[in-house]
Amino acid sequence: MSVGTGKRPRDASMSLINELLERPIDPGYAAAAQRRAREGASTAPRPSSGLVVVTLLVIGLVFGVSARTLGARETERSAARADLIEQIEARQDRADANAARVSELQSEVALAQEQILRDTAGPAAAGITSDLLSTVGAVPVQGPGLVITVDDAPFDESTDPAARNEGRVLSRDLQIVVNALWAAGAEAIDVNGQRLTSRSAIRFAGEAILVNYRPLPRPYVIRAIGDPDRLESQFTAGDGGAYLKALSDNFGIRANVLTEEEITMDSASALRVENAAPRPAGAEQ
Amino acid sequence: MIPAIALIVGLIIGLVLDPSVPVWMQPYLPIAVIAALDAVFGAIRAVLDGIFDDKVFVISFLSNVVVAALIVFIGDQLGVGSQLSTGVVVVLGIRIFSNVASIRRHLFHA
Repeated sequence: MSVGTGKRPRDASMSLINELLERPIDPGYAAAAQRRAREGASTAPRPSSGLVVVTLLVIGLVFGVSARTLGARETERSAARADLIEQIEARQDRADANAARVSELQSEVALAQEQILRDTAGPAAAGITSDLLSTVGAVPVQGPGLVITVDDAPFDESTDPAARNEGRVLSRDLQIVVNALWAAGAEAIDVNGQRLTSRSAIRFAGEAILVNYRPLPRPYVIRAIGDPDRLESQFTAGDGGAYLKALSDNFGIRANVLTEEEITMDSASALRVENAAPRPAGAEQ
Repeated sequence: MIPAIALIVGLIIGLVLDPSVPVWMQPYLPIAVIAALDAVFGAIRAVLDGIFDDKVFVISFLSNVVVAALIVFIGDQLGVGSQLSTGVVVVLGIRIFSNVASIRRHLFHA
């Protein structure tokens, strides 16, 4: 193509695409037809020769085998997947059943302990022990109290990531609220159903807040059992209330404090005996 | 008519016999299917155009399959197997589309 003719198609550089779109048929057919025409042979197509039949047989075979092989691979995979899902669900059910059994046994143990103590050491000691058990979180507790719901600042698609991060509830926020509740006289606290004990940690792991090593979904519901009026007045007047207010003023974090007539908390499931020694024989009670 | 019957007979034999394909050959099966489809539609178009040639058909099918398999094989050796497979599928896919469009024009004049 000489320069200056000006006839060069604008898309000549896209020869591959032109080739594909304008002459998709195998050029071999056209070439063979031309050769036949040149040699003066018959241009009638011969689609039924043995060669063609055999090739089409092979092509059909390829289709059939592929349908079998690739289809089977897919069903194998989905069967394995269904099997795994079934296993996961079965184990989850078992874990839930076991957790229910654990808390059942724990309350049985607590009852038996109380019974033994009452028989051997008198009602006073039994009272002290049951107080201690509810303080450490070994038994389920019930009573009036305070419910504080804390949630991330509202955001939508247009909120930029930095602002979204600022509006997130941090483990530190929950720690401060919980400590303020203890200071206000709470007798038992749980966060999203995780009972806090003297050995519980509220911490961050990646994006999630962990309590008792369980990741919690938002919103975070902190429930405290105690004298509701005293809890509320002490909490809102003290550090906790001021902190929540600062959070909502500065970062838009939503917080909501309610008193509740009746709160029921499960026992902590992660408690275990770390230190125990048999009473020396013949020791006085 | 006979070629169509041959195709269906081959399909049924493949489905009924269900031969086990060795694992190393399985990545080439989808490519072989696409290449075979391309050859079949190219042949149908050539028949309708009145320029069908049995030798060209057989050779185009064989060379399609061999070249496609070769490209996938080399791609696997170079670590770009999936990209090259995509390339083969795109090129043959466009050809199949154009051939089917041409067949449609022949058959329905639309």
